[in-house]
Amino acid sequence: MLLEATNLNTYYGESHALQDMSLNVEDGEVVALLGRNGMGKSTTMKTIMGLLKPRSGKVIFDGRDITGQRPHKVARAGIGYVPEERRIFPNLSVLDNLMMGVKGGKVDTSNANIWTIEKIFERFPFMRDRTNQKGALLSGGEQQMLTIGRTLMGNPRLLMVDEPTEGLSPVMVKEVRDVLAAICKSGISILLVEHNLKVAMSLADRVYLMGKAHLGFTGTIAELDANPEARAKYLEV
Amino acid sequence: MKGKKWLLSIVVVVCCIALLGLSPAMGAKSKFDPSKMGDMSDLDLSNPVIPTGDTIKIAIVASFSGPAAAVGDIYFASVQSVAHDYNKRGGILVDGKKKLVQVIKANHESKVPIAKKVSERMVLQEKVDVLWGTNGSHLMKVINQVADKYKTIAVSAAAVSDELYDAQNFSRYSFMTSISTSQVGRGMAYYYGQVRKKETKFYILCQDYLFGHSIAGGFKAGLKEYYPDAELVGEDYHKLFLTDFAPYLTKVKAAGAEVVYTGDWIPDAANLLVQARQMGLDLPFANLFINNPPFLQQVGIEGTDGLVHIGQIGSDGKAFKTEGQIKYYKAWNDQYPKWKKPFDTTTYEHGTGTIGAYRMQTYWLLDVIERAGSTDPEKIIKVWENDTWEDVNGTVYKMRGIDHKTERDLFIELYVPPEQQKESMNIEPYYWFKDCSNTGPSYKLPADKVTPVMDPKLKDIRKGS
Amino acid sequence: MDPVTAMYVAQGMHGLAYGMILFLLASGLTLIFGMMGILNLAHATFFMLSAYLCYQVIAWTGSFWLALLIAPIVTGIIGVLLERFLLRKVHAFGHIGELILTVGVSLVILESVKVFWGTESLPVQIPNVLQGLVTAGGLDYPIYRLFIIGLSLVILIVLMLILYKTRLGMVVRAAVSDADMVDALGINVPLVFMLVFGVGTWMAGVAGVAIAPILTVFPGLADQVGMDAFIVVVVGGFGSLGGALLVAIICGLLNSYGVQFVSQLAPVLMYIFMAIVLVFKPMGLFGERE
Repeated sequence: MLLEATNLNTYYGESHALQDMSLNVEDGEVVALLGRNGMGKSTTMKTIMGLLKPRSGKVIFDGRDITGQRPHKVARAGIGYVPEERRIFPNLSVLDNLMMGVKGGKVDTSNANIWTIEKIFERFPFMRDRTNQKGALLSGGEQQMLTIGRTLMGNPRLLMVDEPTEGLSPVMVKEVRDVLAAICKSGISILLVEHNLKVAMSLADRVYLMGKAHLGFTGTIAELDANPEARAKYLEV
Repeated sequence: MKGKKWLLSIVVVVCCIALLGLSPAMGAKSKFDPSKMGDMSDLDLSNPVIPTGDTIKIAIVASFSGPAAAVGDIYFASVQSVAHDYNKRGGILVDGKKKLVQVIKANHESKVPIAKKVSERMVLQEKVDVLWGTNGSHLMKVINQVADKYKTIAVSAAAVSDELYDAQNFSRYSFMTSISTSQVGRGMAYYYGQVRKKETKFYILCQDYLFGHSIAGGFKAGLKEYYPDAELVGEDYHKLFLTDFAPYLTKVKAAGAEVVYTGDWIPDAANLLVQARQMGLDLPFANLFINNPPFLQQVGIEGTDGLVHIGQIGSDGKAFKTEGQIKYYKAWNDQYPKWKKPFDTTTYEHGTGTIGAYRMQTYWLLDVIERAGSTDPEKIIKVWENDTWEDVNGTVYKMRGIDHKTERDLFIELYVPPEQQKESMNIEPYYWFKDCSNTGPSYKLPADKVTPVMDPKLKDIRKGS
Repeated sequence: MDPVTAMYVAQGMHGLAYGMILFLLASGLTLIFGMMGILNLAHATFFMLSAYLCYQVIAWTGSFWLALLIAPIVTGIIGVLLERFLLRKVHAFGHIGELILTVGVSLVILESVKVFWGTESLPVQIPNVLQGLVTAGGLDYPIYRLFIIGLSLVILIVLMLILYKTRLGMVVRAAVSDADMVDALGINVPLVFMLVFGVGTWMAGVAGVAIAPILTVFPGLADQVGMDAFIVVVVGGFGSLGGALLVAIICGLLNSYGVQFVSQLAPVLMYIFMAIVLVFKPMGLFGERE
């Protein structure tokens, strides 16, 4: 088991945002975390990442307890985080944005499987021509690519991607989907929060459906297809 | 028999005349008498002995924190040394009981609302007999208002703006024992126009608040009166606690001024002088407050040479002319080496100058209370109005009854290098400070040439009294 | 140069000298705010503390240069300790907690300074080599003020090189816009905070030593210059180093040319400038964050 989160309870002040939330991700697996807005999907990711501290519960990653660790420790353990708002550094150039993702400032070039600037440029050719442009000047879709590329530069074993296609044109949505599929193929596990069911279903091996602050349903794509009740309860508006 | 009766009546008449003639003369003899001083060998300002209980209470309302915190310490040292003297004498007989003098620090933090609050607390809670103040005329104004409201004696020993005692602000409970801005201005103008008759181009550089404008106004009026040929080549008012004086000093230089007249007090006075010398501006500053020894020492002998200081205490020529003066001087100076922070700096070395002025004003206050035989404000007012009193140097202070300002001689002191300071400092070690210029030649400005201004409207207001 | 031109040039240099001092002080304040969201109200107190340390080092060693080296470093270390052991602890209580803590720290420093050094002004001499004036083209200008301008420029250039040419600088710039995201990328942001806090207080310390011989050292030092530095940060925009530099120099020039041309208004000119800028740009000239 790569990631194992059990019985997480997280609060925003007095509001109980996560109630006994549990999920796990196997090595090489794509897991989609789905549900309507405000159910706690992003909160789950932030809690795993260490951006929010759970009051109780446990997060085990690769056999190590990382519950409540500072984000940089979680990142160094091997979890990459692509946040919903993208959060590129607007005042930094495209190249610097990518370099920010490198852990410890150095890329291990001896390993052929590792993500390097060259590989990122191959995957996202537009970046090569715009290395010195400020991040703020990129389009929404380009920013999404940049934030994914930035996280890849840290060579995570697990990528947590929050709403990557939100607000993107259909062409860009497909582009993002293809990128995620390629990443998965390269051996990186993905935990995906995605409102576009079609995209989610095409990528995911398994799904978790969230109701208000808690886990509602879990199963493979096939199991979800066979359970219209769960779909109606947790997904349809 | 008949002849003897005639002789007797002549004797009686002569005696009566002699007595009549003598008694006013004796009345004028109120003065500071060094021979009456208590044993001061245990005066330790860093460990002051402050009595409590049924005492005569003096509150020093001043800055004891913030940029002007050092000023509060100077006031405290001055007043406490006098209180110590009286306490060693056994106190003062008031209202049928000998009472010791208690000095209380009241911090106004240089803020008007706090000055009001702390003064009221002193009057209502601590039940002080006297409010003694302060650095800043705007703050003294508040203290006087409190004094007036609660019928408590206030003494303005350090706030020097004439406006505090005009028809609008006058309170019969408050007495201005200090020099006033009009006196300073007139005195300086008198010195330059009637005594020195040399420099003609003056630049006024003062702090931008009531006092700064008041002391500048005094000088302008003085020039009109005593030095019509003088030329005012510039006039600026800078904000209080200014950081960078360079822009003003560049203007002074360009204007071709020969003398800068300033009312600035520390820290502005120090920064002004230090920065002027750093910029190569060597002209004299005619000043009231550039006399704080550590600053002078910082600037050094050369930079302080030629400063012209005006003060309310001093002497014409040699500082020590009588045994009494030396005794009084040594009562302080002998104890100075054993004092600790903050009283171990050269500010406190001599107990003369500004500190001397504060001490003398406090002696006058306590002498008035002693003669009133009471701390009842009405009795104190009765004695103090039109009172004359002589300080340790023989300078006569006269409390003008109508507006409570003090008429007295003033003194101009020219700062010279140590080897020339013996002209003033005529006892061992024959200099005031060996690492800065200080008083050498000094001149008396007669009281009638430098009377403080009086608001004519006060005459109508105070007709009844 | 004729005397009038010389006067104008001198005023410009006065403005530059004071502006650079303000920048040294304001840059730390604005960087710390930009990165950590902390308005460090103790910042100017560190400036004052360093001036006192400068006095003390000179009293012990007689060397201004040693003081210029040691006093800011000690000040910076105290800044680091404050961040590591106090500020980090109250972070959980939000910005109000941090604000109150910095006020408390400034009071403690202020009172300690009085206990150690008293309330009177202490003298710091300009070192011999920097005393006197340079004369060039009819203009006399104090060497020491030129030294202040030069020293500040060197620090400014080094700071810019670090910020724009090194990975550390990149991390700092990124953290100014989004510290949490930087942390989530695997960079030890608390360590960077501590470092920035240290460098910020170190620069305040350098400003304190630089100004000591001009201003005399006394407990009110913090109030005087601190207020001006605060205006620089507000007008320049919280977190903007470029804004701080530009506004510091504008304020310095407003100060000197204000005295020259509209001396009655000089005391309030900076406040008028602040008011005008904030009416049109409430976040300051280069401010982005609220």
